Amino acid sequence: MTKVSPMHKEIDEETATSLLGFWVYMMTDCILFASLFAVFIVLKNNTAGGRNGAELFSLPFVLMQTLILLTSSFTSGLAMLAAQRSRIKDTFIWLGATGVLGASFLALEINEFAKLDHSGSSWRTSGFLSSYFTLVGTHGLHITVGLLWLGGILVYIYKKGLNETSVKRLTMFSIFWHFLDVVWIFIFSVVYLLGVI
Amino acid sequence: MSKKGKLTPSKIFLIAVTLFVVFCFILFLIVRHHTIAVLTPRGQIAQSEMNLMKFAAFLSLIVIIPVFGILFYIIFTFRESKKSKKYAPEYSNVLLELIWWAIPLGIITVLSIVTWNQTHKLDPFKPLSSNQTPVRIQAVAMNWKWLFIYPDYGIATVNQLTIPVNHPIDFSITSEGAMNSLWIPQLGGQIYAMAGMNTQLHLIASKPGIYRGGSANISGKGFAGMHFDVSAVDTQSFSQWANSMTSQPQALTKYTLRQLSLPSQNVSPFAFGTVENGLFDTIVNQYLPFQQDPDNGKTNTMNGMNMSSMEGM
Amino acid sequence: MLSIFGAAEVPGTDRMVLLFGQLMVVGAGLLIGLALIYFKKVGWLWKNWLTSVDHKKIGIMYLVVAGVMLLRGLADTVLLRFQQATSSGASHGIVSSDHFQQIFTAHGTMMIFFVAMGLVFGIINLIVPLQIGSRDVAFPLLNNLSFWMYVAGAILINLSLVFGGEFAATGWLAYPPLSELQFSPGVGVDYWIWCIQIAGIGTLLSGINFITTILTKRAPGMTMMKMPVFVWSVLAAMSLVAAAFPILTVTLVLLTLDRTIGTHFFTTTGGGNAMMYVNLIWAWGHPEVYILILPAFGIYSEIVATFSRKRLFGYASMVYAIIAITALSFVVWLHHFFTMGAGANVNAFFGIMTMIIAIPTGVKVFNWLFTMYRGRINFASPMIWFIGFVITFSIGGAAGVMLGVPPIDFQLHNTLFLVAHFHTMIVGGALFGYFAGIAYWFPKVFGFKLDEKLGKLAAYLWIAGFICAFTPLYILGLMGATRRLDHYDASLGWQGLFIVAGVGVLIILAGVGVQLLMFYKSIRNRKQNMDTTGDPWNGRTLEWSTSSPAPVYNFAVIPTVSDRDEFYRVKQLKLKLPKRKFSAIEMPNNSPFGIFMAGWALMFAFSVIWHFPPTIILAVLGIVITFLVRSFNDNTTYLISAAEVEAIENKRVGALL
Repeated sequence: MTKVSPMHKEIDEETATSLLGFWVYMMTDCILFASLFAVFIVLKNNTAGGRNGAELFSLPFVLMQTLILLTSSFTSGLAMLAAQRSRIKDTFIWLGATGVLGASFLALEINEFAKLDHSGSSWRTSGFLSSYFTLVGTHGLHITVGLLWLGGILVYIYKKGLNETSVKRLTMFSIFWHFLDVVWIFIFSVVYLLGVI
Repeated sequence: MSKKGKLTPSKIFLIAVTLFVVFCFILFLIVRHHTIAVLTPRGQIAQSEMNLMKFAAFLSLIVIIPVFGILFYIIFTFRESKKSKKYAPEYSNVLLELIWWAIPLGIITVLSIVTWNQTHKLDPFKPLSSNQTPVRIQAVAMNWKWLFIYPDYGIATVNQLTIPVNHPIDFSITSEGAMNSLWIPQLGGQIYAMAGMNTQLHLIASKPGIYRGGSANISGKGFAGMHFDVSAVDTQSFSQWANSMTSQPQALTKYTLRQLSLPSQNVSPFAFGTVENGLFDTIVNQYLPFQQDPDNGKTNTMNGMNMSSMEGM
Repeated sequence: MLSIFGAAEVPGTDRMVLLFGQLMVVGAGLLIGLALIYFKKVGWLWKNWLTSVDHKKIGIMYLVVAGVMLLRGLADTVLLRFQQATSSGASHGIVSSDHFQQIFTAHGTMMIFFVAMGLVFGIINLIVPLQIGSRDVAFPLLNNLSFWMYVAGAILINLSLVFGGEFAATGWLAYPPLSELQFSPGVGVDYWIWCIQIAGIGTLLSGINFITTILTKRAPGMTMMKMPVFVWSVLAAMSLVAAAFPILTVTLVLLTLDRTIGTHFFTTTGGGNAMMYVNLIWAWGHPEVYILILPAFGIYSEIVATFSRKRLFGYASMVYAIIAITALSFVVWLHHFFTMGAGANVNAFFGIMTMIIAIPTGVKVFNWLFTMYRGRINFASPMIWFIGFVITFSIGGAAGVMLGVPPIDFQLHNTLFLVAHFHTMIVGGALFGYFAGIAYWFPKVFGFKLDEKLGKLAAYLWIAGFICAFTPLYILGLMGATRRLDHYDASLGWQGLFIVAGVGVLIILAGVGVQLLMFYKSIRNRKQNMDTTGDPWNGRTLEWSTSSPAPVYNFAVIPTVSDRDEFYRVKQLKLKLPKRKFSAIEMPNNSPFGIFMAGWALMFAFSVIWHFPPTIILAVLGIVITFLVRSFNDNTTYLISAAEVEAIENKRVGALL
C-alpha cells in the first residue's frame, strides 16, 4: 500500500466527477429551496391576526444585505481567479473579504430576526411568519455552513498550499456561494419586494 | 404446490388452479350472507360510481386476459425442455411493439374521456338536481364522534343520521380537530372533514333502509368507533322524526359544543332538541388562517381552500 | 425522562406485547454484541466491513440490515393480522387501539424505509458498478456514509420501543393535525420524524452518488443506449430520489419545527395549513413508490432475458417507458387525496395522468412476455418470482387504474381495497423483484449459488400466501371496511375474511422460514454449489465477465463495450483469453468517517426527540470536527501493484480451468 503520486489525467477525471456530483447536489438543494418557497407562497396571507410583510420589512435594510452578499459573491469569484493563477496571497485576500462580507450579512440577518422577535413578531405568531423565518433562516444556515467551509479551506490552503484538492474545493465553494446569491435574489424578490408592495 | 416429488409445470399449473378455485369458493361461502356495501348501492351517486367501477374493471380485463393467456401459452411452449425449433435469440418485432403501445393508449384514451366526464358529473360539490327539496346537514367530525346539525330543523344528532328517501342531502362537512372522512358507502363516495374547511358532499337515498356510515381517515384512539347508522325513511316519517326530536331536552350551544368536543369513544347516538344559530360557521371560522374583515362581518366559508394555488408545487 | 419499560397505563396483553418487543430488541442487540466479543470478531468486523468503502461489502451490509428489519416488520404484520382477525364484536383483540395504531405505523415505516429501500440500495450497490464496468461508485466514502445514515435510522426506530416504548400512532405518513403536538403530545411522532429524516438524508446522498456514478463511471463504449436496462431503471429511480427526497426533508423539518419551537405550518390554529403537508408529503411519496418499483422492473428485465436465452425484446421501448414513468410520477401526487375536494377539473387532470402511467407499464409487461416468446426458458427460481409478479401485478395494476378514476376513488379511498392495491404493487411488484434479484446475483456476490429447490418452494409459498392474504382485503374494502380499524362490529361479517387473510400471512411466514432455511443450507453446502466460472446462469452483461465473488477492484482491465449484451457478444465470439497486461490499480482506503457521522446524527436526533440541548450541541460539534479531520486527510487511497493484480487474476484463471 504505497502513497500514490498524482497522475495528471486521472486527477482531472476525478475532479470532473466530483464537480458533476456537486452540481447534482446543488440541484437537490434547489428543490429544497423551491419547496420552502412554495410553502411561503401558500402561507403568505395566513397572518392569523399578526402583522404582514408590508408592516414588518424595511426595503433599504434588505437592499443593504443584498448588496453585501452580491459583493461577497464577486470577491469569491476573484479568489477563484487568483487561485487558478496560483496567486496564493491574492486568494487569501479575496477569500478573507468574502468571509467578512458573508459574516456581516449573517450578522445583519440575525439582528433583523432578533428585532422581529423582540417586537412581538416571532415564528410562533403566524403561519406567514413561520414560513418567513424558516425560508430566510434556511438561507442563513447555508451561509453559516458556507462560512465554516470557507474557514476550513483557508486553513487547508495555509497548510498545504494551492494543490489540486484545494482548487477543487474552492471551485465547489464558489459554486455554492453563487448559488446562495441566486437564492437570495429570489428571497429578495418574492419575500421582501412582493411583501412590501 | 409445496409437496416434493416430480412436479412438471403442467402439474404445478393444475394444482395452482385447483387451489385457487377452492380458495374462491371458501371466500364465496364466507361472504354469501353479508352486504358488499359498495356493490349494493342504495342511492343514485353510489349506483353511478358502481357502474363506473364495473366499466373500468371491464376495460382492464381487455388487457389482463390477453396477458394471462400469452403468459401461460409462452410458459408451456418455450420451456427449455421443449427444445422449440422456433428459438430465435435475437428476435425483435417493431410492429408488435407498436401494437402494444397502441392498445393501452386506446383503452386509456377511452377511459380518460369517461373519467373527465364522470368526474365532473359526479363531483361531490355539485348539488343534485331533483324535484324534491334538499335537506341540509352540517357534519362535524369530533374526537371521536360525528355531530350532524340539521340547520333547517333546529335539531342535531350525534352518531346517528336520519334522512328522507329521494330528497337530495346536502352535506357541509368540517372537523373540530384531526382530519376525518365522511363515508356512507351505500349512498356514495367520501369526502374529507378538515378543520377550518367546509367541504361539500351531495348524496341521495333511493330506498328506505339502514345504511352504515363512518370515518375513513385515521383520527386517533377512538377512530374505529366513529361509525353511525343512516336511517333512510319516507318523507312523512322524516318530518315526524324531525318534529319529535325538537322535544329532546338537550340544547346545542357554544357551551355544550365545547363539552361535546372533549375526547370520548364509542359514543351512543343521542340528539339535541334545539341548536344555536350559526354554530357550524363558528366551528369552521375558529380555524381560519387569515384575519377576518371586521367591517364585512360575513362569515368566510371556503370551498375546501383554493387548491389551485398548490398545483404548481 | 426515560421510562425504559414503557408507560404504566398500558393494559395486560398490551403490556406483554410491548415487553416482548423490548426484550426482542434488547436481546438481539446483546446477543450480537456478546457473540462478536466471544468470537473475537469485533476488530475484524470493524476493519473489513463496518468501515469498508467497497460497494460490494456495503451492498451486502444493506441486505443484511434490510433482512433483519424485514423480520421485525413481519412480527408487526402478525400482530396486526391477529388483532383484526380476533377483534370483532365483544372481543377487543390483544392490543389497545393506540398500540394497534402504533404497530401499523411502525409496520409501514419499517417496510418502506428500512426493508424496501434497504433491499433496493443493497442490490443497486452490489450490481450497478459491476454492470457498467467500473471499479467502484463515484464517491465510495459518501456511499459508506449513506449506508450508516440508513442504519442510524433503523437503530432509532428500534430505540423507540426501548426508550419511551412509544411510536407514532398516526399512520405511516403522519398527517397533521393528528401528528401535531396538540393531538400527539408524546415522543412517538418525533421518533417517526427522525428515523425517516436521517435515513432520508442518507438516501438523498446515495441518489446523488449513483447518478454521478452512472453518468461518469461507465466503461468506454457504453453509451446511454447501451446501458443494461437495470442501470437505466436505477438512473431513473435515483433521479427521482434527487428530485423528491429534498421535499421530504423540508416537510419533516417543518413538522419538527411545529412540534418543537411552536411554528404554525400545519397546525389548526395560527394560520397553519394541514393540507399543504398532505400535498408536500405526497409530492415526495408518489415518486417514492416508483423509486421502489423501477429498480424491480430493471431486475425483471435482466432476469427474463438471461433465463430465456434471448435478447431483451424492445430495449428502446423499455428505456422510453422508464423515462415516461419517471416524468409522469411527478404529476400524479394528488390522486392520493381526490377526496380532499379539489375541484372536478383538478381531480380529473390528476386522474387521467395516473391512468397514462398504465400505458408505459403495460408496454413493459408485454415486452417481458415477448422476451420469453421464442426463447428457451429456464424456470430457475428468479423466473418463478417473475411469473408471480406478472400475475399479481396485472391485477394490482387494474385496481390502480380503477382507483385513478376520481369518482371510483371516492368509494375505495382509505379502504382495505386500497391497502390491498398498494401491497400488490409493493410486495407483488417490488419485493418479488428484489427476491428474484437476490437469487439471481447471489452467486456473483458470494461465489456460490443458493439452493434452487428451496428457493422455488419459497417463491411458491410467498405467491400463494400473498394471494390468500390480500384477496380478502380487496373484498373487505368493497364491503366498506376502512383501513386501520382496531375493532369492528360482528354483524358486518368481516371476521371470516380477516381470518383468511391471517392464514395468508402464516403461509407467507412459512415462505420466509423456507428462505431462512435456504440461506442456511446454501451456506452449509456451499462447496457443492460453487460458482467457479463467474457466469453461473449464462449471463449477458458485464457483471458476469469477472470472477465470483468479484475482486476488490472488480475488473483487472476495464472492458471496452460495443454491444448492449456485451458479455453475451464476447462469448459468441469464442475468443481465447488474451494475455492481458496489468497495471497498478488505485483504490480508496477504508474509513470510519461514515460511522462517526451517522453516530453524531443519531445522537443529534435522539437529543432533539428528548429535548436535551447539551448533547445536541455536542453532536453538531462532532459533525463539524469529523468533517474537518477528514478534509485534512490526504491519504485516502492505496495502490494495488500490477504484480498483485496479476497474482489475483492468475488464481482466478486457474479456477476457471
